[in-house]
Amino acid sequence: MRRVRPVAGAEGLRAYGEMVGILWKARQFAAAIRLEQLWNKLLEQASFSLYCAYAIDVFGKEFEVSNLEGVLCTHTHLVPAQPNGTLETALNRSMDEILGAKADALRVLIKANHRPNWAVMPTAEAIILWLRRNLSGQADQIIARAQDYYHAPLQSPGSTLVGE
Amino acid sequence: MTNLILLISDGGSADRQLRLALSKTAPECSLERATTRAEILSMQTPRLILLDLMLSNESAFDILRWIRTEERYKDVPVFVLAPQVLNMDVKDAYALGANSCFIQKPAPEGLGPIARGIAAYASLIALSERACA
Repeated sequence: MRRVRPVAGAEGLRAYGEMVGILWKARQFAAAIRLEQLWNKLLEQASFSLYCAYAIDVFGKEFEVSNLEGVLCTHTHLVPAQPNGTLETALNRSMDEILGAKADALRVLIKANHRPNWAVMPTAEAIILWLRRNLSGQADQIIARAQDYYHAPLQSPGSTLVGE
Repeated sequence: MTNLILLISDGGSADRQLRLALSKTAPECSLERATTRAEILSMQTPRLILLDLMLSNESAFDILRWIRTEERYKDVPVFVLAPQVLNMDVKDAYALGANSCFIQKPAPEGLGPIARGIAAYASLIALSERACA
C-alpha cells in the first residue's frame, strides 16, 4: 500500500480483493468473512477503496440471509454483475402472477424493511432475500418463475424488453 | 394454527391502522394486542408477531429474546416496529431474531402504507398454511 499509493492518480488507490471470492466459491464462508473483516481493519488505517467480487447465483438457494449476513455487513454497496433492471422486471412480473393483487402492498413492505447494517443493494436482490427469509411457502415458486423470465425475456408473452 | 396476528404494544395508531388494513386486505386474519408475557401466553399461537420496540413496562428486547426461546413461538415471524431510526436498536433486534424491521412515523402517519403491506403478508402466510394443510 505504502509503495503504490504515491503513484495512484487523482481517484486515489483502489484495491481488489480476489481471495474472498475464491474462498466463497470453495464454500469457506467463515474464512471469507474473516478476510473481509481484516480488509475493513486495514481500511480504517489507510485511505483506499476496496472492491470484492463474489460469484453468487441470486436465483440459487445459497442466496439467503443466513449465508449473506456477514458479507452484507462488511460492505457498503452490493453491485450486480449485470445491469439489474431486467431482473427486477422479471421478479415483479412473477410476483404479480403468483401473489396477485397483494404483490403491490408486499413490495411496499419489502422496500420499507430497514437493515441499517447491510450494504446498499439493488431492489431485486433485496426482494429475493426478503422473500426467502419471510415467505418461504411461495419464495421458491416466485424466484423460479422470475429466473425463467430473466433468462428468456424475449420469448415471454407481454415482455416489453424486445430490442434491448 | 389460527390466523391471529399478535401486536405487542402499549397502544397507539398502529393498532387502529393494522385493524383497518386487515379488514380490507386480510379479513381472514384477526389482530389481538398484548403488553405482557402473561397476556401473550394466554392467547393462541399467532401466525405473525408485531413487536413495538417502545414498551413502557418491559424491555421489547427481553420480550423478543424470550419469544425466540419459547418453543411455540420460535418459528413465528417477528416484525419489529421501531418508532424512529434507532440503528443500534434495530441491529440488536435483528441479532435477537427479528425477521424484519419497519419504522413507525409519529402520528397521524404512523405505519402508513406499511400497514397494508403487513396485512397482505399476513394473508399470504395464512393462504400458504392452508395450501400446506
